[in-house]
Amino acid sequence: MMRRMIPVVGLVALALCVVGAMLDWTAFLRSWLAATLTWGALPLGAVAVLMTHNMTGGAWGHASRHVWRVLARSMPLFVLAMVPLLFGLDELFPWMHPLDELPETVRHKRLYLNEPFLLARWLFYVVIWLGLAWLLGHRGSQARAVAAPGLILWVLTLSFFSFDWYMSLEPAFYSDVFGLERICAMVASSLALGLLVLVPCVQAPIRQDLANIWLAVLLGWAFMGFSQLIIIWSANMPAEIGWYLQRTEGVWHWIGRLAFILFLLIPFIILLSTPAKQSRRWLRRAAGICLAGYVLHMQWMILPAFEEWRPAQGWLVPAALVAVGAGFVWMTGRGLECREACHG
Amino acid sequence: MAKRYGLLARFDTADALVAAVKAMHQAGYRALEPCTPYPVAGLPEALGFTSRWVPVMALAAAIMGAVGIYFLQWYSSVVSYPFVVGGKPLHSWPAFLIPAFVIGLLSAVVGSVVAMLFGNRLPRPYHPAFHVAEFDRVTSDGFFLIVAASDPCFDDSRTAARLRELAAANIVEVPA
Repeated sequence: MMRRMIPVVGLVALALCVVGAMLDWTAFLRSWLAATLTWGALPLGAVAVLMTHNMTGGAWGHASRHVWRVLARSMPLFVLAMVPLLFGLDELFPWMHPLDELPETVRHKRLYLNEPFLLARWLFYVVIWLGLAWLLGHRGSQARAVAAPGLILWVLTLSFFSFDWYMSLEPAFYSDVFGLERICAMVASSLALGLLVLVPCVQAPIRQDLANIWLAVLLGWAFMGFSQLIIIWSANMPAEIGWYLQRTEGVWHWIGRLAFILFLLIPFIILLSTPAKQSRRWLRRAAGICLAGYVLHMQWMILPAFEEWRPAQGWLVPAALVAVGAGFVWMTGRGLECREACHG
Repeated sequence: MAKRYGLLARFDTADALVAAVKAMHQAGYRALEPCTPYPVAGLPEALGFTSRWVPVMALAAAIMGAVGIYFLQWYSSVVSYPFVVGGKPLHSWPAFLIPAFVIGLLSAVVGSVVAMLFGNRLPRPYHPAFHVAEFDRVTSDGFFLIVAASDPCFDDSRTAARLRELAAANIVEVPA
């Protein structure tokens, strides 16, 4: 019943997005970017989990493999969802404005931040990610050889992807650790979704292993995020601190705090206890809370980057999230469904 | 009859020891002390041992350490000696968090080590089992089980016979 509703809900949301795109193209682009990047974390994170398991081995991976493979196979959808954004680059990126309108720090970045190079880089990332997802998702036997070089490429491409598609929305801002912070957030959210699906059908020791890996990635995210905050906060340079000031204005202040509590604090407190790491119910709660926090956190990351809040964003942001999300759930849901027989 | 501490049984393998401990525990013995050259998997479960308070102690120590050091920083820079550095607010929580985290971690480690030592009744320089020369093998290849005479189930002949049934390689009386 629920499953059959998903395409319907997704299509309704998609229709809303199309209407929104015709009414307010800019608001649509912003909302669509936030939604695409939010959901894109799932295949991107799953690919890394698969490659890590190919490197290290371990019972946790054998028991959970099918879920990561199903998630990795949704990579083409992420790429497809990014395509509409390519037609609105000039609306999204302030560095596309004429050169003399830009502040000096940004003018010097135009060697890297220019349209043809951005598109070329995007194509390069996408080819690598699709290749990795195809090798890992469909070709189990050849996937071992690709793990080590694949992980290196994955970190580099994702790091630069984060510079391109998150950080350059505010082109004056720069942070070294930004890409690593994004990587940790993506893997943590992907692991949370995987746990949500896996918890009912794996043994307690596997649940504990997965929970430990997840906790480590979450703490990695906290470390990266806090390093960035403490450095920028200490230096207090106008170009950099502005990024945080934008995100502590008005309601974003509270959304940011709520996202931190949901994404990190509550799962962390739950995962402190070893019995909770093995308990089906607590793990599912922690994973669900973390995912809710992740969605909020992503909106907090992307949306305050744009100067004014357009009224249409009020309904376009949730509509885009539902539309892209329904696509992912519809695409992965079938793969995850057939394995739920392993309950017993 | 001389006073004695209990019986010392040696087993040849870890598996035999675990099986014996399980059987003795089920028979109602509670004053059981297994001694092994290395941590043996399944032994705590066989003893019916559940440790709850080491993690609780670690958590309590971590919270106390973190809150304490945070309070110290807040008190010294807001109350006791307010001094503006680099235009930062007096209560600079991002900077205070790092020592709070580090000291919290240190307290957790120290707390759990102390709790572990207390839980194991360590340090303990003397134990009656040291009177038995064979007990030296506990550091190389001997898997020992000490059954204290203070156990209400303890009975001279029956306990020794039971240990022998459970494949003890050698049984020695431990003097007090």
